[in-house]
Amino acid sequence: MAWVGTLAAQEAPQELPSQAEMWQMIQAQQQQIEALSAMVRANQTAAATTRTELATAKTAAASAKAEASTALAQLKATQQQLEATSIAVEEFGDSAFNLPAWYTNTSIGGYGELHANFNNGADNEIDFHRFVLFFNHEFNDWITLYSELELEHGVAGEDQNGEIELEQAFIRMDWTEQFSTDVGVFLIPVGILNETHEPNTFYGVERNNVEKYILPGTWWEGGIKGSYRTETGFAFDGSITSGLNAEDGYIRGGRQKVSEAINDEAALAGRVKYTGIAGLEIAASVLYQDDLDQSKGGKDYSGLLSTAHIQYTTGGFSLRALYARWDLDGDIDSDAESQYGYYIEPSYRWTLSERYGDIGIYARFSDYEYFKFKDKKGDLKENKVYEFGVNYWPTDNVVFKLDYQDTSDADQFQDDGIDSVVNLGVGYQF
Amino acid sequence: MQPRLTTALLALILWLLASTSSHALETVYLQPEVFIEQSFAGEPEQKVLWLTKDAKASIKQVLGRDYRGMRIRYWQSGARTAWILEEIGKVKPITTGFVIENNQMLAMQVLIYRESHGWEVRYPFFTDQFKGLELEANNRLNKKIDGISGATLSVNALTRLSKLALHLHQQALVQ
Repeated sequence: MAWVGTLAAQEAPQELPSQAEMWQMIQAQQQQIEALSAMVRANQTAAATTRTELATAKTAAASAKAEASTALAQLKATQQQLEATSIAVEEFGDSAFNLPAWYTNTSIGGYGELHANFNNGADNEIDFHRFVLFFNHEFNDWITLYSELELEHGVAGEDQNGEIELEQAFIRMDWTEQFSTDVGVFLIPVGILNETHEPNTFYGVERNNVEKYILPGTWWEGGIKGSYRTETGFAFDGSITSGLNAEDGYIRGGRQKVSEAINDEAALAGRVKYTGIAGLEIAASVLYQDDLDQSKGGKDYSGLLSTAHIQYTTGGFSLRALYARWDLDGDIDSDAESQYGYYIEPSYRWTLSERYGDIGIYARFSDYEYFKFKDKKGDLKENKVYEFGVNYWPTDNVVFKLDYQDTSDADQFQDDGIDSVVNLGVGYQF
Repeated sequence: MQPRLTTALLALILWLLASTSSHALETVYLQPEVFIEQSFAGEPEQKVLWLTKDAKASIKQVLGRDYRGMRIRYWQSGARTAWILEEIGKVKPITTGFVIENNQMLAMQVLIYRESHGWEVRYPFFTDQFKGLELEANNRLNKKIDGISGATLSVNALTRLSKLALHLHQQALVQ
């Protein structure tokens, strides 16, 4: 019965508000309605303002877009003007006033070397040994002139030590990518230094005596040479040229330097060279001349030159070795029949720094025998020379050199009473 | 002159001529535009690096001399760039193409060679050495290039150009 009593208490009617209370409630609601109305009006005003601002922004954006488009067009026009100006400036640099510049087809280079020889047993010497200029000219994309003009020993002229020599002046024609011909005066394709003898490319102040007296370098002749090269690194050269005029077997004395030279006998030369591995060069040459003494009434004897060399460089280490021999046959002194020489030259080169360049040291042993004919008599010069030295390259194309040569077992030097030599030199190439 | 030997030599020359291409050939081994085409899978974007005062100063540090001109053209696709640059070997400029990606050289190729000696520099047994070259902080290459006898100046020129190409690649990627 207890739950029935509770239910009755919950369902009892509440007391109604009085009239005054009802009035107060109506007034409060009226105030709320007015407040809400004010808010609605304020929102409507804000929305209208926003719409106006949005419209203004759209107008501004359209205007900015138009301006950007104009600026882009102007930028493109400016870029085109800049491109045209750049091309004009670049072209002006190559060719003034729209005329072909001479230097675009003609180039100049050169090298030189000053030597000081401190001889133990004879007078010391200083000599600007070589001052050389190259002049090259491209006639078109397959025909080129190469030339080399040299002043030797500083002063040239009558009763002077030096001479002006045209060592190279030939027309090269590149018939194909592999095959070219040289016609004119060119260096005979034998040995290492005969074709490449710029002072910064070899060790020792003076060029080595094996190539000087046996080959004999530097040796140039007039004629024609064909060269064929393969992608695998083989090169074949064949030449037919004017020849030596060697009186009584003195090879070096037979160089005529293409100066009103006797041209009754041609020299035929061939070379095979392999450079198919970076840093390696192996080459062998032969040269034959049917009569080495071409002068009328001279002796009749033939000459065959055989030479081979290797050059290998890996990292700082390099090795050069060369062998050359002449076999003379016919009416000639028996001492002159076989003249030969070889040298071996290990070296090592370091880089000091990018700024201060490289330094290298070398040692060389040379053994060579050549027949010299002078003042109507000839004899065999037997030589063994031991040497070592240093090269300093402050930059690739400038070199300072110092070397020492023990010449106590070398007839060539002993004839002048020289037991040893200290050489100093400076050389350059450009 | 020995007539038989002369005839033999002339015959050899004629045979060599006949055995190779019959037309005269330029010293252009590869046209620059072909080199560019071969260096990218797709069409690269042609760009220009302007040689500002700062750019010239940094190039001089790498090359060891001033670089003439106001801009250098190059080609780019992603992180790969290609450059065609020239440097004097002995007396004539060597035109050379370089392809570089991520600061590492992918290829070096001699496009036009004009010197009388040193033709070996254009063949793979020499140019393959340049693959993988990088420029170290002190402007040195990360490995030594073995030279070619008789082409010392050309080898030096190509080594310098390699440094320049690697340097320009770095400059191009930050621009």
